Amino acid sequence: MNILEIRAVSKSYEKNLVLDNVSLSIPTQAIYGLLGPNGAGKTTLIRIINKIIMQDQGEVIFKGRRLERNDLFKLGYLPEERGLYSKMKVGEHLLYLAKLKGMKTYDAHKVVKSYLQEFEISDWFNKKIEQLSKGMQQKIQFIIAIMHNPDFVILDEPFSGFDPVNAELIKNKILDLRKNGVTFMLSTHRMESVEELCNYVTLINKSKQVIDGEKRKIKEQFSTSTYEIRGKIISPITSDGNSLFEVLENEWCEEEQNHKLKCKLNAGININDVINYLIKSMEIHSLREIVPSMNDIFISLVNNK
Amino acid sequence: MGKTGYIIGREYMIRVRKRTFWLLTFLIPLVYLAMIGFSVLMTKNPGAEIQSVNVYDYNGLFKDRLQSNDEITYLFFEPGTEQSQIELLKVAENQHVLIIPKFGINNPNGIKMFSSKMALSFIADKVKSDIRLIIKDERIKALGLNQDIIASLEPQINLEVSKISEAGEEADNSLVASIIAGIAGFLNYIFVFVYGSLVLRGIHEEKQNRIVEIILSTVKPFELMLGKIIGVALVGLTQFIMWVLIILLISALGLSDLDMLSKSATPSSDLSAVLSGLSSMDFTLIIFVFIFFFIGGYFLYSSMFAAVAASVDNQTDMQQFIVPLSIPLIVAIISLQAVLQAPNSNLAVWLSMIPFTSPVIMVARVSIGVPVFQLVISMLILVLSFIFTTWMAGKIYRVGILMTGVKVTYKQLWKWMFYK
Repeated sequence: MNILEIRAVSKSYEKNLVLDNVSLSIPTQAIYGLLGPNGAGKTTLIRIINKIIMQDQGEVIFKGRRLERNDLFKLGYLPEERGLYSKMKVGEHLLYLAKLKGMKTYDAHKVVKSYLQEFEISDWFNKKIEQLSKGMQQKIQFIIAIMHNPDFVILDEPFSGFDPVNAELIKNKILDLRKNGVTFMLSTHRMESVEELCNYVTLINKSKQVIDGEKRKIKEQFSTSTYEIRGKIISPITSDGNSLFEVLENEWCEEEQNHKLKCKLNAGININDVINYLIKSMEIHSLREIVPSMNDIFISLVNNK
Repeated sequence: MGKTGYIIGREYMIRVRKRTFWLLTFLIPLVYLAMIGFSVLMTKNPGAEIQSVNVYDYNGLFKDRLQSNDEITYLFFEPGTEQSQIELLKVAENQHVLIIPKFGINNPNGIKMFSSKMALSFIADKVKSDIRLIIKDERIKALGLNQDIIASLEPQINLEVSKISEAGEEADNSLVASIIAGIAGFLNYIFVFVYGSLVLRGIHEEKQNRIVEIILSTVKPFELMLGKIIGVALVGLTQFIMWVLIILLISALGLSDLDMLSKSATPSSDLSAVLSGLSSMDFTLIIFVFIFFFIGGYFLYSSMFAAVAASVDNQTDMQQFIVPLSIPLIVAIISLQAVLQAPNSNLAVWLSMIPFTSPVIMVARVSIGVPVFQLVISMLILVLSFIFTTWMAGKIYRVGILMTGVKVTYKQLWKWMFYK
């Protein structure tokens, strides 16, 4: 079941079209990557989902019905440009935002204390925000996005500003929450995060949706049927004289003391046929498909469109 | 009210728990009372110390007739020894040497007074007046006139001034009313400006540090703006109520003194007029109108300030919008003097109807006395105006608060009002 659906949403400021007929479906418990270059319209889409601004056309469906203001209690949001009230204390700040997110005072206290404990920052409760480093403030902001037990969380560049240790902490928390039923929308330019975490992606470029769907399928779609084969070549292998593949690279790897062969399969050819052919001329040590990275797909889509 | 209630609570608490809030809350009434006390003391006896006047009377006319009082003590010495006393003045304080040479009562010349350092001019005036009265007596006696007849020629005029209004006849209190009116008008001007600026700064801070994006993912922009405006208004009201309470408390403690003063004052004295003037004023109405126009004026201006703070990125751009918006309020305060002199002039009536100036002018006029229908119309106009400006500001705020890096113009603000 889809927890959130965007149906043909458009938005323009004066004559500037910022989102053009964007539609997407986010399954429950997905980690959905929202990708796109700067100024593509990602923030506008996120703001529309959060009801910070209204779309000109289209609708946002949450759990099967039109998203209402009350549903915002079930949404978490970590904006890219985030801030806190610098003069407030950590504890009271978290409590204030928890209550704005519809929590009762007692529950808010309990949850805030438990999260501060989990992130090993209990002794910050009475510290003023302005006393915290940027990284520390990022932790608080992440807690703000998830503390009210939301079903759907939008994280805009969640790892920026974190050191590797804390980035890992945040990543594990995301995976942990996902296991417990929470769905995430991850807007980021860090493609390694997309590779690692997302199972669905959409790419928006110049206000238009360029691609949308399961990451695995998108990668398949962008697959070039190229394989890297390593081993010892017994007799020369060339593209000439075979109808199976085209040799893109053929080089001796000094370090590993073997040959690296990069082949692109011709249309309709199965890898097993290629292996049967090669085995006569080569002692095969390893074989892997060269799958395009999300980074490659992103660049090729943005540059082509 | 739920979420707006939390916002109001935060805006209120964050300011009320500041040390500066409590410092101002207690300091202002104390400064105010200290100023009153000081001015009372100054009129009573500016020098505070009793002034001692050593008199060398060559006529023998003044001994026992120059009467000492709580400000001056006259001491009489044998004429001829004054030189040594004059020398002593160099090191003395509050000492004076008065030399009255021999003269005919028709030609009282050559009177001299030497004073120690820091001598005060009121002593000279007092001494001159005392001598004048004695010489006048002597002249009456020389002409063989009856003292009582002369005294009866001095008419004692008590002009009792009353003003007639629909409520009937009331004692005149124009002097006191003018003072109260001036203070009330000025105080409201300060209040609207100070608390309006708090809203301005608060919203600017939220926009600058980007917390607003998180808040707006839960509450509507209008709720956030309204929460802030109401929260700050409550801070202002708390401060005002605290001031009234503190002043009332201190007044109650010093009331017996005031009562005594009132009784000891002669019916024609200024103090009595002030006290009776004060007692004849309707302070409940004045305080009600003050609070009403503070809230109205504050909402009117702070909502406009909020729209500006939400729209612009930096302080310089902010000033560019705030200065023109503040001009009506400045016009009001400049016109206050003229309004106090002619509280029913066309200028006064118009300025108390225009919502941008009425928070200062109507508050001032009501202390002096204003027709009920004018007050009601002015209140109505103010309420409608602030509802309109708050609505309009809300429209600009919701767009402006999310805009960064945009050079804002009036044209743009106008367009934002109609964004979906």
